[in-house]
Amino acid sequence: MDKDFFMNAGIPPPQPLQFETTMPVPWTGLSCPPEQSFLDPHSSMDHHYSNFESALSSMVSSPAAAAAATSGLSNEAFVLRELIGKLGGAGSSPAFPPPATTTTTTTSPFNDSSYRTPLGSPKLQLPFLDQMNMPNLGTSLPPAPPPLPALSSDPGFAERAAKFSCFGSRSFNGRTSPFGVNNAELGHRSNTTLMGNGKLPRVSSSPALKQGGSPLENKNSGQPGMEIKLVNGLEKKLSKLSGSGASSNEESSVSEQIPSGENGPKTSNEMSSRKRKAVSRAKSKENGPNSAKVTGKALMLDEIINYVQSLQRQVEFLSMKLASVNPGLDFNMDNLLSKDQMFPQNAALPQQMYPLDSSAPTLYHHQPQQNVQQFHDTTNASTAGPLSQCSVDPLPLGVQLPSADGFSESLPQFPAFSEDDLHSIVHMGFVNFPVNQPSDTRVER
Amino acid sequence: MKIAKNPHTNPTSIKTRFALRFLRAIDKLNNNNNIISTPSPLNSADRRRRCRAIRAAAYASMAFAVGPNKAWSRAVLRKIRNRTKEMIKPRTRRGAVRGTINPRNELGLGQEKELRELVPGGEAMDFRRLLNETGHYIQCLRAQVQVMRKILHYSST
Repeated sequence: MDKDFFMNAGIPPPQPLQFETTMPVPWTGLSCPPEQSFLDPHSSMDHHYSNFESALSSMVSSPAAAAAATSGLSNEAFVLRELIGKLGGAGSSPAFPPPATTTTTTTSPFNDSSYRTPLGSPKLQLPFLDQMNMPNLGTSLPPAPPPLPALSSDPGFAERAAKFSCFGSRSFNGRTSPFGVNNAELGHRSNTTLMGNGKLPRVSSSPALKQGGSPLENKNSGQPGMEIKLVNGLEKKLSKLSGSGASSNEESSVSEQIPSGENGPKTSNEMSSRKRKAVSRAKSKENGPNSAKVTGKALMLDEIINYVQSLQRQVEFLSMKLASVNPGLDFNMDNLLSKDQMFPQNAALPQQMYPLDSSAPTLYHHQPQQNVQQFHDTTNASTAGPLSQCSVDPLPLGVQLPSADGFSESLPQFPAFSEDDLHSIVHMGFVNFPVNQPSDTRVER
Repeated sequence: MKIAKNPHTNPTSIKTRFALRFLRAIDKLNNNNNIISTPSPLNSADRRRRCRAIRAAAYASMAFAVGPNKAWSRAVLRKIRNRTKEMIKPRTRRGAVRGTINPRNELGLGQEKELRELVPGGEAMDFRRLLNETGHYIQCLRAQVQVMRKILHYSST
């Protein structure tokens, strides 16, 4: 792995103009250390560190040659963040203020010496950095124009960068929504590779490791980290209050980063400040006496309530956006699902949700057809496809839930379709569809 | 006990299930609108209605994806069912059944009550259970937000 490092470090210099494309290459060499460094912070850190510096020097030389002031600054930000992420794995360290000052030197990209000296100490106090300096870094960066989309347009690079940079984008904040969402997606994808290893760091009281493993954020850099800490605190608190180990499940299954959402900056700022308070309280609470616990519980509840409210607000906001985006769109699910790595096509329908296994694949395969044919294909009438689609039809027509979902045994049956819904279905061409026989829906599905 | 599978590759994860249902629901919404031949909802009333519809679809899809194992998902499904029943046979709305709030944990700040109001089905369970449900509810909300964001992203590109 060290060899990889040196190899990759040697590659970038020759093409200064293609700075964006050469950027990914050295990072690939860096892809190995984070996981190792998180798990073995003390033993291998210095090793990685020297490799890091050599890679960094090679990278530094190429952007200096590129002399792209705009991209230089943003890359500086990138590099900074990745370095911070790296060094965060080391655990304890003195504070790391100098990069905040180096970033403000916007005129010179990659001031080699000044950049390197703070990194000379392989220790980085990440929580401190996270809470204090990332805002500084973030606020010092805004003057940079948005060349970042150019950088991240290479998906591989973006993914790798997301893997390392722990704080992402206070500076990326609010640039373009696709970009932001892109980051969220990246954050989502790349996070699990680190989080998969990271149950132990997450549970441990050092959020430093966890922060180091966090992927690129798309909004407030401080907030998502805070949210993770909040959830950690919440789950610890839940386990204490409820006295059960069930909450640890929640912790283990929470493997994704929390995108902080697209609320207005006001709400997210107040959320982040509240969460910072919550985190500190949660930490103190665990060591505090009983009396402090009582008051801490109230504050914790406050935080929980705020968090749930913010999530619900985000859902509302996103649904509003979807509503405005969608109408003209032919929502080609097949396209979406194939594009989106999250939803592998071959196992699109989880078996437990559909008691008739044979119908499940047909259901899925009928979807794109239905999209194209606009429900006028009467052959679809016999399949349960449209029925499943009719399952969640909210307010105007009344929601009818297909009764044959996996838990039909536990829930009492209810009339499958309202009159309006059935009429609309009939309109769609399902002449043969039995309008008033809900039992058929069960059978067909 | 749940084994933490990687949701990116786990086809039966909540996210997958939710996304599938939600996409289908949106599809149906779109198709309904197209067939009933409403113009594209540029006017605010239509958009608001559509927004509410999508939001309801999101919650319903999530409740479905979660299944009946959790109290809050059951409550959501019950609510949906009741709403549709009311649409079929409009009748006077019954008063909500309020479970006894455990005074043991009441801190006098109204937070517990607030939390109960936030989490669906929170009225009728004790505090301990409420906290567990809240934890799971938060996870599902987060997954929901992520999926919706992705859908938005993909549909706009």
